[in-house]
Parts: sequence; C-alpha cells; structure tokens
Amino acid sequence: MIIKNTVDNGDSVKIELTGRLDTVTAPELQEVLIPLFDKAKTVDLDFTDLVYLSSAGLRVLLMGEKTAKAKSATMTINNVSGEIMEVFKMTGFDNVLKIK
Amino acid sequence: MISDKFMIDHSTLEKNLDRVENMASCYGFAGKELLQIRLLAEETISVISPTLELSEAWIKMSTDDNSFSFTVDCDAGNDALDEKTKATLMKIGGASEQKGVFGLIGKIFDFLTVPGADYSAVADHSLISSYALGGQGLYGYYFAPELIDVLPEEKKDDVKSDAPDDKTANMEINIVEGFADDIQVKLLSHRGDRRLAITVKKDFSKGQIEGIEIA
Repeated sequence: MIIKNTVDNGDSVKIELTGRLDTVTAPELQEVLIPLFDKAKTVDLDFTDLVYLSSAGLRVLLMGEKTAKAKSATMTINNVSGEIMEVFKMTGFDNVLKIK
Repeated sequence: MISDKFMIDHSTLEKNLDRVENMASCYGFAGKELLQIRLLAEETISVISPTLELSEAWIKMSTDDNSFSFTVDCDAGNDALDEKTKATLMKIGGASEQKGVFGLIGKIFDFLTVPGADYSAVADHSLISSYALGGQGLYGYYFAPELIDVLPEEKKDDVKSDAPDDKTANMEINIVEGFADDIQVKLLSHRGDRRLAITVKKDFSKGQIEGIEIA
C-alpha cells in the first residue's frame, strides 16, 4: 500500500505516502488522489516515508497538479527526501509541482 | 564476474526489479545508489516497453571490480516488417526528437521502420567481424552516439516548450541519462531477426564492498 494515512478535513486533505511510488503503486494513488479535488481545496502529500519515485509516479503527480489547477485547488508536496528531490530536478518537475 | 539473465514482461515487472535490486545489493550497493539502480532498470524497461507486445525481452546483469551493469535485450522487428510490428516500433521511434542516447534509440527505431533501410552504412563496424567469425551468422552493430548525425531524418519544426505535458515525454529518458554512468546501444541481426540491446552501467563509488561471492 502506497498510502499510509489520510486525514480528511473536508476542504483540506492530507495524504501520507510510504514506500515506493512506481509502476505498481501509482494506480492506487491516482485512484485516491484525483477524486479528492471534487471537494477539497487543498491537498497536501507528505513524502516523509516515501523512499522511491519513478516516472509512473511522476505522471500521477502531474495529473494531480493539472486536476488541482482545473478545479482552482492546490496540491503541495511536503518533506521530500534528497534522493526524490534529485528525480524532481532531473526531470524538471521541481518547476512544475509545488514542493516544500 | 557474476552474471544473471531472466525474461521480463509487463506482468512480472516488480519481481524483476526486485531481482535487479537484490543482485546489486549483493555487490555492495546500498541506500541511494541501490534505489538508483532499481530506478534505472524500471525506466529503461519503460522506454522499450512497446516491444513487449512483439515478444519477450530479457535482462542480463553483470558486475566487475568497478561497476554494475544490466542489459535490456528486446525485439527490434525483422526484415519482413508487417504493419502491426511497424506501428509498435514507431511508438519508440516517437522519441527520436530527443537528444542523447535515447534520442538515438528513437532514431534507430525510426530507421528500422523504413523499408529496405541499410543501417550497416551508419553503424560502427568494429563488432561485425567478431560476430561473423563466430560462424553463426550473427551480425552486430554498435551505435555510438556521435554517429547519430549521419542517420537520415526529416526536418521538423523546432518546438520549444516547458509545458508540463512536454516533460512527461522526456521523463524516463532524463532519469536514465541523469543517473547512469554509461549507456551503450547495440543492434543485433540474425537471419533477418533483429534485437536491440541497451546496456546501462553504474560505477561503484568509494566505500562499497568488493569481492563478495555468491554461492
């Protein structure tokens, strides 16, 4: 399971991820993340326990960002490890996603 | 030198990536570099994934005193290219506008889908004689990145954009070229059947354990 915990406060949702966001687990995140923007104005993804991110995960994150923009909502990624930040920088996604 | 080889397909991807990671771990890779090796394998397989519709692909791993490498070996069609195979290979050819090694791979697949294309004219012939002497009718071509300029290509309009959608087209390529220490591309032809081999290498850094033997 990629999702460790979800805190839903109506307008604001926080999702804690764990393990690997890759070809196998990305569909699970997509299934949970995208529908959130029907109601939530703020979605925070906590990457504290995420150790691995591949292009499959990047696609889902990009989908989330585009959905958020379309619904006038905000998606933020927090507590990114150095290794995952390298992947974001290498692919230019550090300029596309909101990363804290 | 230790090596291992196994077949890959869409359904066993995670198990195969675990196998790559486990072998790298046995040779002293750990932490960040171990995850990078797994990532390199996942993204390289992702680049060639359309060929899995044609036939199986293989991963061969090997290590020496200085590096760990894996080779992804996949179907590159044959001389009697049918329309379905051509359409499948052209999905990889779509990357031909990219720079670097994976742009080269895209151009090779573009080239392969042209009827009657003679890639021997643009490849480095240094491997051909060694394969031919083996007497098995196997011919190999090594495509050095600097040979890319001599491959025929249509002129296309320059499209420059930082739009997010453009970034998704480059993701796998940027990740592999960013983390790998070396990448080689070879095209092998045997009795009209062709296979593409992409070798990705990761060098050992200081402090890694060497000389671990696997029973």
